[in-house]
Amino acid sequence: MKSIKISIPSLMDNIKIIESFIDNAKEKYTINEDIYGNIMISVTECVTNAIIHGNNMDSKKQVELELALGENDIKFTITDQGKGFDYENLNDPTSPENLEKPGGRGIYIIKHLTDEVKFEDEGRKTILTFYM
Amino acid sequence: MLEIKNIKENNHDILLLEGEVDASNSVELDSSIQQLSEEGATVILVDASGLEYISSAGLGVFMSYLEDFQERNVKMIIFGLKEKVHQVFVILGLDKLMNIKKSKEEALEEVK
Repeated sequence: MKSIKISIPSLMDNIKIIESFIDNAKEKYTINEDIYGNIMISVTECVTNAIIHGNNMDSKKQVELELALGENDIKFTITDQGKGFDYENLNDPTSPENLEKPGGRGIYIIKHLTDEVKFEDEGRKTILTFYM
Repeated sequence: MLEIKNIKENNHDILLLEGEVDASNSVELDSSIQQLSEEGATVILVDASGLEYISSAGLGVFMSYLEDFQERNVKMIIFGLKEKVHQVFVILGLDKLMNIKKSKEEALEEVK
């Protein structure tokens, strides 16, 4: 299995690095346009969460992104150094009381665009799998 | 990368978005809308045909103006969304809350 790993300090500007990481992966592993779009949105959402909610934008803390290419799938593992979160009790952003709120949509989007989402280590680690 | 151009056309303000709206640059989108709002714009057309993706942070920017614009009778219409970007609005049910049109023509029809 091929894998690449990068680590970024928890600054919002570093999302650009993640975007170019995914762009490079697309070229290197010939990821098709449909999955690429879903990967781009989901992985950047997830890293954004790790930076803001996980590491509280503390630039001394790192967010790690690992890509692993399997035979029929591609996995992205995002790890932060925060306190974790309660991933089993999340609000539904499409319910009427939440619909007009500006935030709270990230994980919902991720779950819809990713084939498998797994949380580990009390929510510090998220594994996103896309079938190829 | 996100590029925002502000075009005035027949008394309408058009915000032309190109690239990606992610969490690092959603503030730029916010300040562009904010600026138009402060200038007293009553119609804001958002040309999203060059938009490659929008993150939840970007969606949050649009959502944060909904109520204010409704109260002040400001029309914000998004048009030209690529299918993959439109899909994100649909997943979240935002296509029902926001004014989204397929083309510029349809958007202009709405503000005639």
